[in-house]
Amino acid sequence: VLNAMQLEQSHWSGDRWSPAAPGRLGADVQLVLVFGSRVALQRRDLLDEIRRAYPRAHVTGCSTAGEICGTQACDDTLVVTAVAFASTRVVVASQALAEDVSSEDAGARLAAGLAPHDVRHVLLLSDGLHVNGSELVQGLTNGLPPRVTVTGGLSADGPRFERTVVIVNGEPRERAVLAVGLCGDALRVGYGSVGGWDPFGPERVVTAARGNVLYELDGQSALSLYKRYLGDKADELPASGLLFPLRVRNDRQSRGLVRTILSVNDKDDSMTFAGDIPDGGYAQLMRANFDRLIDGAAEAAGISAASHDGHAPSLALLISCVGRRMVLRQRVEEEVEGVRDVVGPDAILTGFYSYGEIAPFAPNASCELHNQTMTVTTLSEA
Amino acid sequence: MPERFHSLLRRQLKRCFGGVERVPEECRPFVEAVNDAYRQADVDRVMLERSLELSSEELGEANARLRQAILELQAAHGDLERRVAARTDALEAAHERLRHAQKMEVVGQLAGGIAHDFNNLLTVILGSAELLLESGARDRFESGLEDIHNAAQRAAALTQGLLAFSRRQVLAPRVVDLNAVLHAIQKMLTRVIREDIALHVEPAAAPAWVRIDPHQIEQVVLNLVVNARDALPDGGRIRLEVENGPWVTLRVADNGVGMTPDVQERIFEPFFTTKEVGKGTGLGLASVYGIVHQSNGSIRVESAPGAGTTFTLSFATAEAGANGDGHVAPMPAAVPDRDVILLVEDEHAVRDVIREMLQRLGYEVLEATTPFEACAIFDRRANDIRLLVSDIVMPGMSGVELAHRIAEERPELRILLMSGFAEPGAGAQATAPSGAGFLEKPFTPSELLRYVREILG
Repeated sequence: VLNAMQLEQSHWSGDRWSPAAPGRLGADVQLVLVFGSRVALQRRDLLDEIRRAYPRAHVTGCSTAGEICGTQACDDTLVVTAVAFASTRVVVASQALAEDVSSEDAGARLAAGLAPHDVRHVLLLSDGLHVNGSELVQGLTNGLPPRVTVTGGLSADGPRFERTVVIVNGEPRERAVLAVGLCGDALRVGYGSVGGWDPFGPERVVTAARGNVLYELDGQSALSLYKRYLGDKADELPASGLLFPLRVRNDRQSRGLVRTILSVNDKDDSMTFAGDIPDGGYAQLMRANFDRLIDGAAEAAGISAASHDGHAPSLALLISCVGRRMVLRQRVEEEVEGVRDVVGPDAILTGFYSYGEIAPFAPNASCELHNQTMTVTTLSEA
Repeated sequence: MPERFHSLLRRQLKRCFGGVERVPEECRPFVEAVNDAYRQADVDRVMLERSLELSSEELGEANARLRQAILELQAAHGDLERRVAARTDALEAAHERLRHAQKMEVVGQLAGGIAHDFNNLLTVILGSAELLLESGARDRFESGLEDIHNAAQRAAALTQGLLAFSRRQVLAPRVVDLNAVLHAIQKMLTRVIREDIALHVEPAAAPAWVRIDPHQIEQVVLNLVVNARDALPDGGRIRLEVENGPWVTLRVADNGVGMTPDVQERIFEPFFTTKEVGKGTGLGLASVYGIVHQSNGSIRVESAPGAGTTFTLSFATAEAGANGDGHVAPMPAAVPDRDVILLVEDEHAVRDVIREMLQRLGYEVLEATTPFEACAIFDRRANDIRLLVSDIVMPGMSGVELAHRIAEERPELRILLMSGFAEPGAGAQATAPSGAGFLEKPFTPSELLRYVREILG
């Protein structure tokens, strides 16, 4: 089929490629998505091989807390997905996160870098530890025309929370953000983002917070509260904090957002979250509900696929939260299989476990940073 | 190696394979995965149990705080309601007192006005009757003149009561010990009550100094005791009690028939009486009310049908011995001479009668109808005039003012002021030149003579 996008996927695992080394589509490829462990991404030979295989492509991607390839969730591998669009054009902008550049500024600069007026959709990949995801999304969407949609995620570093990288021009970069603009009228994009966590216990007032740093809930140390609930798992903070995401909202009427911990600081008794914690707002601990996590993934895929006018999507990009993987463990592939059941057997599935997901909560809603969700972006060309 | 496996898995492996060590090599990864799932399930369960326990605890505490807050709120609400009710009651009571006081004020003004006019008329009637009685007409009209005289005197007593009620009586307040006042009249009170009534007088432990007109307070006590007596048709006891405190209080209590609230409401109104026709004037408690208020005191009544009645009078405590003008010199017995008297009175009939009285007593009388006319006469005959006899209430200039003007020029001139009633507020006595005498209308020629002699003597 000449007027549809072509895809090729290669999986590097245990020092070999399967089903084959990348390169079959060669110079037809405009965009390559590479998701892998930080260690694998820092192997120069592998990225060089990918660049050589697709000489005219933008080689992009990021480090993960697990790669999604088909219906498998893997560790310490590379998943390479090459896309040869029939008519869609690809533009890329990147920005380093420096001390003097706020997350919002970085987002604004990305928007300015995606100059073409016919951008339909933006895939946003970001550093996972040194960013205020809420502000980044705000800066980017403010700089784009309203009709442009944005999805993406924050890169990850397994359960370590130490260093994350974003692939910019085929090179791993720390403290970087990347925007891939997809241009043209032929592109069809769908997206859906669903959590599946249950709030429990008392809803608390955020009595001390600044930006994405939380100090106190109900006048008590938030970190101490987490340590009480985690018991002996408190030693595994910040990763174990993912077991209790926080539902935050500005008032008791709104739906609120789910936030997870990026880091803790025992010195000033603070916790840094992936997005803003509204000072004076409300916060409530959440816990996993296994069945709802798995059903939620399929639900997100369903919402996403509904945007393709009855056609099956060609590519599904799954960005799921590291917290879900920690909880689901051996059952984690059930959520990927749930997506597969929805999008059909022909779609290529790729993606990663992240430190944050970026998507509108619902079609036509404004884009937001989420945590603890499965966010599915589906692409096809008419 | 065996400890690596979950206890439940160990038991299952033993049952299926005969022990952990007998698991086939190719099944090892499978067994490891199951073991991992078992262990993880335990960890998840512990985490869930702790979450449940902690959040239940927290919710319980929040619930307790909420319940406490509700209790406090309810208490505060109840307290607020009680305070609102108390304030409403107090406001209603204050409003009722105000309404009552306003009514008494209006009635008082009316009574005072009537009494004033009547006093002028009575001065004429009484004076004329007496003058006629002393003249040749006596022989022909004796009984008629006596009747006129007696009726006028009863009418004078009536206007006196009205004036007392309307607080326009001329009072001569002094600092007195209320204990001593009661002691002085105890014998007289015993005569007023009947034998089947016991009178107890309980003075305060220390002298109870108050600034009042002693004669008027005697009248007040007498009135209250007479009322108590009439409330005891089958005998009983009357208790008079003086107490020192923030105020000096005098209680007059009986264990008689008592009063309904309706009656209590009206007892101080003039001409309100529960006594048989002809037995009471209806002015007793009205004048008590007036005198007490004019003396800057207050009076309260507590009563219920069958439960007796207690009147409580309160006066400000005065400083002992702060009198200065307490003692009145005895009246000297002097004979009239041809002294010249300047008489100022705007009421024509009253002036005529007084002039007639003074002339009969042998004085030369210069008459003036207004204070201004009096000033003119004084300018001409300043050196002859020994006494100024003047009405107090006159249009244009009061008698007190006139007295001051004349006293400025002739300090040795004697002054006698007459009035139908005391001026409300500051009394004429307080503002008149020192040494001035006061005479209340109506008066008889003999009373006038006594005063004139006293002043000139």
